[in-house]
Amino acid sequence: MPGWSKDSPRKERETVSELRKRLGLFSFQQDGLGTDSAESYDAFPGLGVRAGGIVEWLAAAPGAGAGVLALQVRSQPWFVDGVIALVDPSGECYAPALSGWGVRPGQVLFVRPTTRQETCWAIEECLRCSGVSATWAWIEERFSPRIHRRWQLAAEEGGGVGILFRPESARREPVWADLRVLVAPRPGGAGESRRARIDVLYRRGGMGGIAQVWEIDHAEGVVRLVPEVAHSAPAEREARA
Amino acid sequence: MCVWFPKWPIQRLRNERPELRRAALVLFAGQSQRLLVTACSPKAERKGVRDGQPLAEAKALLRNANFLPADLVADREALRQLALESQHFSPLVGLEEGMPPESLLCDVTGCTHLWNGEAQFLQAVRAFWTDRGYQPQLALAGSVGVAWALAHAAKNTVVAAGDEAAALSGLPVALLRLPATVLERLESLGLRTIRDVMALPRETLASRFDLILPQRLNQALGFEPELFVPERLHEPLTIDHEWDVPLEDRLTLGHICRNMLQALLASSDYPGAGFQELEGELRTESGVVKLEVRLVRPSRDEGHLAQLVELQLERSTWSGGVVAMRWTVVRLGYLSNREHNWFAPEAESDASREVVALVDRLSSRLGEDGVLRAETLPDAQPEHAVQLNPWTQAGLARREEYALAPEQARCRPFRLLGVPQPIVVVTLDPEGTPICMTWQKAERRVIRYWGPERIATGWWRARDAQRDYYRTEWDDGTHAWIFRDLRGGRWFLHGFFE
Repeated sequence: MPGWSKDSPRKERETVSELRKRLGLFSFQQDGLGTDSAESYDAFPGLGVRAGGIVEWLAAAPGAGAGVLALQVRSQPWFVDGVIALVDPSGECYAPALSGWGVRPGQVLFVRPTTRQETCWAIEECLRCSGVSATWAWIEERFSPRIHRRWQLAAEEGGGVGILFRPESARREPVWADLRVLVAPRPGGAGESRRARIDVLYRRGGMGGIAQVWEIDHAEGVVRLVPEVAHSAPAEREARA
Repeated sequence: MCVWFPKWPIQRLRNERPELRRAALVLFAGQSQRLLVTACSPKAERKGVRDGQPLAEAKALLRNANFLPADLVADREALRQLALESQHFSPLVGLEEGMPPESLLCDVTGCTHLWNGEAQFLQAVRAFWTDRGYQPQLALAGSVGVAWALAHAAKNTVVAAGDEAAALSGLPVALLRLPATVLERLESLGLRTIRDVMALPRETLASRFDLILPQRLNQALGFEPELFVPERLHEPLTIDHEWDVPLEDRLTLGHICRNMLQALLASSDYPGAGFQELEGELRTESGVVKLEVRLVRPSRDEGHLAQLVELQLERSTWSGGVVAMRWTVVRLGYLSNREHNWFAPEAESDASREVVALVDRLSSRLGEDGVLRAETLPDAQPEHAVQLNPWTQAGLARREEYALAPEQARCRPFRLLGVPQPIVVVTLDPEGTPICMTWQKAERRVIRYWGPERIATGWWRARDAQRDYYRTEWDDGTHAWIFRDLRGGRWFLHGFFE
């Protein structure tokens, strides 16, 4: 392919980055909150979603850290200042905690439907509204594929991002989202940090099956990727040979 | 006649809330990053606080003062109420032009003889307002301009017909209600009193300054008429519709509602007014069904109002057919010329309009308590640290946002259980260092914890809180927020760090 050669890995990276930007992909920020430089929003492979798309965060257990990790999908400036609709049927989302991770409670619409039908309608309305930059919804129940398709079309029309938090049991359901990830808590971490493993179960256009461990630092208010340590077995085999 | 209420926002608040009379009072407005003082009490002025000063500076000058957000809509509405009360003296009472209004203008033609003369009339009006706790300045003259100028010059006086020029001549030129640019130009030329301006050839004033200067001068001297819009008690806006055959089809009912709204909008052609609250009544074969539509912002958009009514119809249930319908406008509101952004001042106003329309729709379908805005409060007890208010709540002013420090906020869970769940915890020592707990019939080992964070507060409430909170990490990596009630020693699970 012209312009793609083995001796210019930097150029390759730049090209991929450029393509990623053109596609409007969101990404995890790697240097933590509070750093505004464009470099800090380096795209992380496999965990992006386009504006007008939907991401499903499946949590393996309560307190896994899915909420904080989902908040890191903040690479676009309009997302930082935009209105967030939070569809919370249980009414348990605690507004003061949001400010610790860069969201002003004043920019959040707390929507509390009481029935399944209302939940479904409220999510669709919020996704369809072009003034809402992100719609977060906690969905414990199972909805039909028709409803998911409606949400998908609503998000495309509204141009915001839909972030659906669902239980792990939803992994067997058909996927209508652009990205489906499973978050499972992991013990350990330095200081006030804690860890969570993210498995990309599905990604539109491939790149599913990726797994990473992320560290959430409560003291600093940042989220960082835990670097992978190479398995020692191949090196040992090579040494024996 | 002109009745001026100097520093009207301050007077209003002190009259509504007598507890504010003791300390200095400062009102502010603006965007979250730049809050400016809009009005302050005389006590605050003596300490050096001025209108237009940054709020932070005012706070530095005044420690024991009340700082409150300004509410222009409430100020105007309260002044309008005073105008309606003033109909005791004259049937034609209105608000002065300009924002924000602080004066009432009354046409007292044919009224003063009922009080045995103009001086007694003025005295009666003054006594009427001072008895109600206000401090007005009044003047009665043959023209609005002279009455306004003399009231603002603190001359509680009556000007006889023909004496307008003499009464005005010694007053500062600013009392002609001129724009700042014209005043600056007059000042630069050394024209400080109205006498100085009147000495100039009248025909040259418009070309040398602005059209407004000769106009104001002519209005004050009675050569040109000046009009004001008197406030009226509006008749309730109601529309009824009855039919013979009971209707069950909701589409048809929606269509009828739309037609009725159209008629209501046509009959309520008040300048600058929109619907903010509507009440509906459906008479069915089995009884009466009440409907209620509340908007975040007043609107005259027929399509939007019809959509909200249709959502209400969807939400309501009744048995049998509908035989009659009534819609009443309960509250009208002023349509703001400037788009007010509820969320972010920099955001596009189109986006803001979309969000306001969304809030209206959600409120209509889910009810008022279905769409809420959070206000963080400086209360240590987690349950009381946030207040959720309906977006459509009347008179909800944008307050100075209080927020926890970020590091403190990160010690709070994303999910706070509505009611703390009792759990069994095994502790290492009697003081309570958790090592193991049972939740949902499963044993969880605590491998790390942070705390205790002692929260002892709320003695003024019926039941105060004395708790030691711990952020715990379980053996599977889950992070939970638990606390020990210091009064009984029992443990509770209060939230999860999602």
